[in-house]
Amino acid sequence: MSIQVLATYIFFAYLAITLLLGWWGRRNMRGATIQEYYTAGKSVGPWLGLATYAASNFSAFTFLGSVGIYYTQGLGYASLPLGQMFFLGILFPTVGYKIWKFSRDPEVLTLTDIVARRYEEDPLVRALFALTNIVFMFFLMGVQVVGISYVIEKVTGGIISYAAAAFTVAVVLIIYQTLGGMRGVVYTDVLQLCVLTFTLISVLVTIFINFDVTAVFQRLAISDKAALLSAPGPQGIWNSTYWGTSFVAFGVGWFMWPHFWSRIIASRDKRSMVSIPLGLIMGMTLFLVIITPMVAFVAADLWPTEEALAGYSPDQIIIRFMFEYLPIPLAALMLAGASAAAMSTVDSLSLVLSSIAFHDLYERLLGTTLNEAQKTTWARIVTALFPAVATLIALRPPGLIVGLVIDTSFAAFTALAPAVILGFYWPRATTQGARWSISLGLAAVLVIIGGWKNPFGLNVYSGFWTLVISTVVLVVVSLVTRPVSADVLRYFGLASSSAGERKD
Amino acid sequence: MGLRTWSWIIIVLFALSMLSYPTFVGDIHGWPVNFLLSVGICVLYLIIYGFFIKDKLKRED
Repeated sequence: MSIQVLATYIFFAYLAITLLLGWWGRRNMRGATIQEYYTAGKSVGPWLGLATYAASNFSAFTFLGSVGIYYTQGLGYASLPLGQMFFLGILFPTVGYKIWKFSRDPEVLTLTDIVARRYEEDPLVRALFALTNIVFMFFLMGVQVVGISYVIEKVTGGIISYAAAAFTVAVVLIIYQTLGGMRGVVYTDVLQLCVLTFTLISVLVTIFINFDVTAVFQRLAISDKAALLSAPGPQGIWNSTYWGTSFVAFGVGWFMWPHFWSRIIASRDKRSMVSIPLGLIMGMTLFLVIITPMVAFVAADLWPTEEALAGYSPDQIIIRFMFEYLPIPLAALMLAGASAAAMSTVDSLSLVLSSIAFHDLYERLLGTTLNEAQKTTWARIVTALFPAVATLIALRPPGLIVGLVIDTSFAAFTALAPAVILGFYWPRATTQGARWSISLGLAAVLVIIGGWKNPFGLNVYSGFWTLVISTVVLVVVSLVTRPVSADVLRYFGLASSSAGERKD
Repeated sequence: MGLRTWSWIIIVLFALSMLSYPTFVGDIHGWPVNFLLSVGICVLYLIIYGFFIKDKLKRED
């Protein structure tokens, strides 16, 4: 049996198992409420929480794109996992814990609910927060579908075409998400994390079996590719300023991504505040700091030019590597690994974006009143729409817009960070401050990425500018505008009862 | 160790990790020093963070 045929069988077997897990999620649902559908009744335990958080984080980009970037830009790209890890460690037990604590209120389904409450249920803050999440994450979801479809077509040797792959994946996603909601997604995430981990560890073992890695590094150090191993890298991007500023912005922006905070809200108890960051730091070290750069450097030694890649693009290096160096059954299984990486991100994103669109915008902002049965029906319909539309976009990807939105994914979310973080810790943060901070932060992202590429020639990462601008705006506007009510401050533990009474 | 000590260790690691790639060049037994430093810092951070968070939760309980 050829590897392509075997890969096709494995792919369909994998899809069948995910459908089964979605159905199992449906069976275990505790009542037909929107709370159960979107947050699994806030009952996800610490280990399931870790698996679902990690699976959502490790996307098609981890599996494919990161190898391509290490291959083209060198070690400087480690700024991303290092920044994410360190800020995860700092933000999870502080901001993450506060999100978890305030989400214990049965009325809270999303972080938007908490932020809106902190800023006196201001409709503009709610709308800005919700729309930022939807706009800047939606195309990232579409890109995952594009990635997975390319991989499936490539690995099955065209047995499954690009369009057929996109359509099949979308149908399976829609079925298991609408069936099991968050519970179904969490169960499939466990499978997806196991497959992804097994695949990447197989790659690491293969590297050590087949190559003398020390010799690989020594050859690279004296070759044309030597720039991969030191700053500022072959493309001259990663100088000290760009590295340091992207380190901060990647870490802060990433923590605000909606599929992550939705896992914090779904967590049952505070032990998740330990298991999730510890597990994720371990996973990121292994996958993004050790395995993917090593694959990239071995590839740079084996196939130093794009011509030598023989028809594979840099972000498909891992596919070629597995075809050539892994036993056939394992190489075929990598298809399931790549599919798992992409699907776990798409399912998490479409569920949380659905909760934002339906609950934050339709239900809360427009003040719509529905009973629980109607709510869950609509929640399922909206959840199905996201992967469906993302797939339609994936069939004819609008390159420029997609590229622009991907570039802004980290940067845009740093515009939300000051309103969230300072909102939890600084009593003086006001509603006007939050409005202007988010608005001007987003405007800065669009200006810098859209045209003014390198303001003042400082080589500062765009997301860092956004973070600085939104923080400064939040502080300055807050200091000159009316503070939020004492009731709100007391709710968030920012004013003592007696202080609040004096203010009243 | 108290929370303050753990916090200081984490801050030092944070600073080291920010400096790891751009500052250090050369190799140790053929392996790029900034790559080894990144991996070493991550592993150390994982261990220390584990102790830190365990200590923090114990105090909160």
